Amino acid sequence: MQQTRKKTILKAAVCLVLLAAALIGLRNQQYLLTLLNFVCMYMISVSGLDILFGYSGQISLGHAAFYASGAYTSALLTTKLGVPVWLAIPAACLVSLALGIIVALPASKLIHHFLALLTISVGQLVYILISRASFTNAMTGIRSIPNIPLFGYELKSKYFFLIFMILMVALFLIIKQCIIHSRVGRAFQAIRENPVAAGGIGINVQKYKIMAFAISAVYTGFAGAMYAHFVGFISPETFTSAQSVMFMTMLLFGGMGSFSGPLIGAAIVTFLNETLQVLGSYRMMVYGAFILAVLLFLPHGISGLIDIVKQSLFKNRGKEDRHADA
Amino acid sequence: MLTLDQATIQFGGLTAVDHVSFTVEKGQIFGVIGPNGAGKTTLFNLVSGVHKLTSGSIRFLDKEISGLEPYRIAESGIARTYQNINLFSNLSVLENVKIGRHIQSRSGLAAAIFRTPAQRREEAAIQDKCMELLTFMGLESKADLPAKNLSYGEQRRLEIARAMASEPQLLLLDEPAAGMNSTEKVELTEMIRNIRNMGITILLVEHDMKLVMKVTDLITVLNFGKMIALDTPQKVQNNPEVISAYLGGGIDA
Repeated sequence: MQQTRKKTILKAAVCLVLLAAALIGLRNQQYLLTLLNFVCMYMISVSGLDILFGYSGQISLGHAAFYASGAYTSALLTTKLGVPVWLAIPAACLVSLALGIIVALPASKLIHHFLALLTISVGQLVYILISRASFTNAMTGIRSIPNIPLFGYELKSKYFFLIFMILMVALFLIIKQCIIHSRVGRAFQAIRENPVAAGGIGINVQKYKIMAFAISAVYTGFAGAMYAHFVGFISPETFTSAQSVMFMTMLLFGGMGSFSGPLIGAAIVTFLNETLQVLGSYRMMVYGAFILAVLLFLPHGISGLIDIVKQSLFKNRGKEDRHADA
Repeated sequence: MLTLDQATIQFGGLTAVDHVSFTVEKGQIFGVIGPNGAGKTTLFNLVSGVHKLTSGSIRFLDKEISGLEPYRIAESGIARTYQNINLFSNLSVLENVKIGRHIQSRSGLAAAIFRTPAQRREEAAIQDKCMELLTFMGLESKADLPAKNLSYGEQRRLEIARAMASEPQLLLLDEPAAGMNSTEKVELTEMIRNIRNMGITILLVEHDMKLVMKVTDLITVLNFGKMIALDTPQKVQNNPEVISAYLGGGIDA
C-alpha cells in the first residue's frame, strides 16, 4: 500500500511538472489556448455523462439540455438581473440539478431504447424552448456575458482562464472518484451490472438512478456555465442534438466507466474535429470512420487500449524476472 | 418468522403458486422441493418481492411484506440467491460482497464527497467484514478477480457471501448446489449448517435430494403450484403422493 501511494504521488508530481512546462510554453498560443479551454469544459461535461452512462448504465442522448440549462442560467442571471458571477455559477448548477431530477423522475422507470428516446426528446424540448422563448432572445442568443472575476481580477486572458479550468477539472475529477469509490458509487455500478440483483440486495434502484442523473446534470451544467462565461456569447446553435451526440462520442471514444476515458475522449475528439477541418466536406466521413473503428475494435475506448498495452508490458516484465531468478 | 397464508399467484390462466400456506420458524432450515415447474422459484420470487401476490398474504416478523418493493423486503431482513446466477459480473469479487453491505451502512453522497471521518471508518469496517465473509466462503484469494472469472461453484458461493453481507435474518437459497461437483456439495452442506448456527433461518430450494434430506428440518413439496406435503425429511421420502409426483402416477391414480 505504502509503495503504491508513493508511486501515485510521484506520478502526480511528474504530471504537474509537465503540465506547468506545457502551460509556460503555451502562453502566447491563442488558438491552442482556446481549444484547451474547450477541452477542459468537455472533460467535466463528459465525466458527468460517464457517472450516468459509464457507471450507472443509464444512457442519455440529450445531455445538451443540461449544458444549455447551465449556460443559460448563468448568462441570464448575470446579464439580465446583474447577479454576481460567483452566485450565478452555483445557481446554474442548481437549476441543472433540478432539471436532472425532473428528467430522471420518468427516466428512472425506463430502460435501453425507451430511455434513449426520452433523453433525445428532453434535448429537443430544451432546444426548442431556448430557440423560441423571448426571455432567451430566441435565435439571437445572449451577448456580453461577463467574464469570471477571481480575487479582483477578471479571467480575461485565455491563459488564466485555462489555469482556472484545469483546477476545476481536477476538482470535479476528485469528486467523481470519491463518489465512485463509495457506497453510492457501488450502488450505481450494481444497477449498471444487474438491476434485479441490486434491488434484491436492498438498493433503492429508482432513487439511485435519479441521483446519478442529478449528479451528471450538475457536471454538464457547470461546464455549460463555464462555456457561457468563457465565450461571452451563447445562442441555441451550440445546444443542438449534435452537441449531445458529441458528448456521447467523446465518452465512447475515450472509454466509459474509467478515470481517464472522458479526459482522453474529450481531448482527442476536440483536436480531431479541428484537424479534420482541412478535409472540408469530407470531414464528417473521416470522423465517422474513426468513431466506427473505435466502437468496433476498442469496446473500452482508448483508455481500454492503454490498459491492454500496459498489461502486456507488465506480463513481459514478469517473464524476464522469472528468467532472472532461474 | 415467515408465514405464508393461502399465497396465490396467477400468470394469465396459469396458477403458478396455488393457495400455499406454511410457517418457517426461527432457526430452521426449511426445504422446498418439487418437480420442474412446480412453482418453487416463483414462490421465492413472491417472498423476495419480484412478483406480487394475486391473493393471500406473506408475513415476515409479524409484518405484511407482500406488495413491498424488493429493496424494502431486503431492508426488512430477507436476502436471497438466484437459481440463474445474478452477480455483478464485471465488478470484483470483493466489490460484489461490499454491495451486499448496502443496507448495513449509512454514508450518503455528501459524506462520500467530503470523505468524512465517519465515512472512512464505515468503509474500513465494510472492507474488514467483507474479507471475513469471503474467508468464510473460501473465496479470500479471489477477492480482486472479476466475478465473471470465477467457476460456477465459486459464483454460487459468492452469491451466498453477498447475501450474508446484508446480515439477513432469513436467507433464501435458490438451488445453491446446481452445477457443483460432489466435493463442493459436501462443503456446501457444511456451510449451510454453519450459516444456520450463526442464527440465520434458511429457506432452501434444491434439486439435490441427498443434500436436502441431510440439512433440512422440515420440507414442503410443491407440485403444479399446490402444496402436497409438509413434513420431516424421513416422512416426506415415504409419502406416496410425493413419490408419484416425482415418478409419475398411474392413469387412475
